[in-house]
Amino acid sequence: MRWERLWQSVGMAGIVVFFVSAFSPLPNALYRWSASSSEVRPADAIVVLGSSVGANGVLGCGSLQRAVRGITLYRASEAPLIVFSGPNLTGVNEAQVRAELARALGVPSGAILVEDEAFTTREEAARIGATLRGRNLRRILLVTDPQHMRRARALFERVGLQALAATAESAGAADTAPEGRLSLMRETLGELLARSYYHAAGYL
Amino acid sequence: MDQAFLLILTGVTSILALLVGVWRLRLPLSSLKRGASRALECLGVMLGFFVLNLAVGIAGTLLWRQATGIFLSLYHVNDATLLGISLLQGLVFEWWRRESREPKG
Repeated sequence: MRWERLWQSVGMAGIVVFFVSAFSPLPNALYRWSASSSEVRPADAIVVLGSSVGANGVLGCGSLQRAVRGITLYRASEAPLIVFSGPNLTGVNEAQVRAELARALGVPSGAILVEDEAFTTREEAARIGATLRGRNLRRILLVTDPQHMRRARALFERVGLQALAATAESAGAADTAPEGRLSLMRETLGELLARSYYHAAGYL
Repeated sequence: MDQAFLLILTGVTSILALLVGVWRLRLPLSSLKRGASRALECLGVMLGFFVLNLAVGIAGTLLWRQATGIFLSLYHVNDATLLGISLLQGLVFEWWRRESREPKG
């Protein structure tokens, strides 16, 4: 009997969470609460964090949004250097694909740096931080999505850089369709879990 | 509009199923509550498997990274397929438990 009661309660909780996530504005509110906003000012470099690239060489949505945001900032003369991050996880080098895109959109090769050996946000901060400090560059415009920004920014500040947020917004943040809200909820909970892990591990 | 459409659609088909159950199949309404309770229990076990899979997946990935130094992405557990497989695991486990408990025949 206790078994039945326990699992019935879990099942009911699951249904409540599902309906609240799909049919209420809670995911959008949670997103806004956990997201950072932009504070774009001239900097020494633009750092575009990695996301994903397909085995066919096509950038994932988030990766493309971040890359375009970084290129737009460069074209607006917010910084003289742009760093593209992104490892080779699928047989395709994400950072190189983004660098090629930037060149095709008019960014000179000399203004592009590529970091393709960092797999996590912490490794990106450590490796890019070391490279930029070596060039005596201290103030960066950090490009990532609004939810990821808080964790990423803290990591870059820990390695001695002044990180200004330049968020790459996605259309999903304003989605009110049930499936969109479920995706938003999943992304938000994933980022909150990642933040908790980084805190527990002493990375933040 | 998306939300209202889905709720109205599933509401209408639920009412149709209720009418078919009562009038066509002559199912007693009194057993609907018991059926819903069993469905909830089954769903609970499915979600239990999902949480277990997530926890083992995350812990296993982090341990693998520590032990081997080889990167394995945590995003592998952030895949909707895991929910589908977990639901299947829960369904089989719950029916196994029920079949073992209920008298044959």
